[in-house]
Amino acid sequence: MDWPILIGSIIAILLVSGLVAWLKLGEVKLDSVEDACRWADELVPGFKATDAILAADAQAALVSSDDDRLVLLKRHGAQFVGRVVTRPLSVLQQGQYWQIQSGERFFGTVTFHVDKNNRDKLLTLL
Amino acid sequence: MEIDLPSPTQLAVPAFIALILIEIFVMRLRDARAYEAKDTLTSLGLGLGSTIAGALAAGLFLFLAFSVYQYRLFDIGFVWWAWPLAFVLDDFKYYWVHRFGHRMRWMWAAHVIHHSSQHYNLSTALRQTWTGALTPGILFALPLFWLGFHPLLVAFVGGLNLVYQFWIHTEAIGRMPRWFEAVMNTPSHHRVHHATNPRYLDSNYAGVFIIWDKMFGTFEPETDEEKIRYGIIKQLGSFNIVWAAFHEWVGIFQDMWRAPWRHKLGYLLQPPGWTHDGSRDTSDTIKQRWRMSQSAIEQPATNNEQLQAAE
Repeated sequence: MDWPILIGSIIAILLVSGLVAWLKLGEVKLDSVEDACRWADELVPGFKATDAILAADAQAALVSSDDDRLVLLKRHGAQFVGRVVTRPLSVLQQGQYWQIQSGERFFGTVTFHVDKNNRDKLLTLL
Repeated sequence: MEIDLPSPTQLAVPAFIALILIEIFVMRLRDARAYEAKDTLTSLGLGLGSTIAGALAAGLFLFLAFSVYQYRLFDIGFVWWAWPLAFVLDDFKYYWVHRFGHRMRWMWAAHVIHHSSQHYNLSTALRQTWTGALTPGILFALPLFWLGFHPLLVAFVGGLNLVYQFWIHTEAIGRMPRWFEAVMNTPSHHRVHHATNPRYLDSNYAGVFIIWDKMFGTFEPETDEEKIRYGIIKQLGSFNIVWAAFHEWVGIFQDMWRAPWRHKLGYLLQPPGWTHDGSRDTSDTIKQRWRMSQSAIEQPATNNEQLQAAE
């Protein structure tokens, strides 16, 4: 591969990705608690979700199951991705923002902005 | 006779870009979630990386190929019938390389990159391996050289195979005509291959001709009953392209490091998800659990029907 082809390829990649961003494609959010539960069920084999706390921007959720497990959901592209997290969770609170560590470096931290009702629910789950 | 053959994949790049642009505008009207900027950037970046890795590994491929070719059984050369025959045999080889690519973790480590997106569009087709040269995949092609097919001819028809597979990575096309679906790999068949729904796991390994799956019992038709979820069992959750390319290799290394000596090779040669203590799911266990849950759903329904019939 020579340099002009390499540089041309990089420019083409940036232009196509830029077009997708400019067209605002891939916008997604969790519609409801049921939606978050469905995502967790689908993403984690054997997980049976019962309840969920949605972040205020509907881009993340913490989902609980009938066997008292927790799945941390976050938006990934135009989809959602989840990880089973174990108690005690590693949480950092900054005002109304709660940062929950997934325990995986590349999955990262998931930030929640929750209202008062959900805050109490979140504290119970933690 | 030696001939200078072009690279079909390099020639097809402008068509790839044009088709991606068309698909973006078509899917914008149908399902605006089909494309997402970071995912597209990752897919295309991984595609570029794979081209560079392929160029670096080409020398090794040709060295091995010509080493075997010098002991060839027949002097086939570049005679006209060698091209279609090599194309079919190479596709047969592709089926088995691909099947092992899903059933042996060593080869899965190189192939997982192609399945690492939760999206399914033409840009996903370009997520190709960076580390294929580190697997035994090349060994599957050696019988072709031993038979007498010229390595450059095999590389050319292999390129055509990859070009064919580009267009099947789309949700923009529903089903092709019945005769075509019966013989050829299509978007419908390949959506099934990229699905993580238990019913679809480990199926439709074909490259160009779907007949190999039908012959070897791995064919699964697409059903309208269930929405397809794409990606891998443990979704990546990261757009880091280096992590996407190497995460399974890291996993293998960590597992082999921790495992007792007698189980170390299992983490390389057994299917993805295999553990010596059975603590993780493989596609087989997930599929088996799903089948059991399905029969549990169907059984009470059958019992109820029998009761009603008896009344």
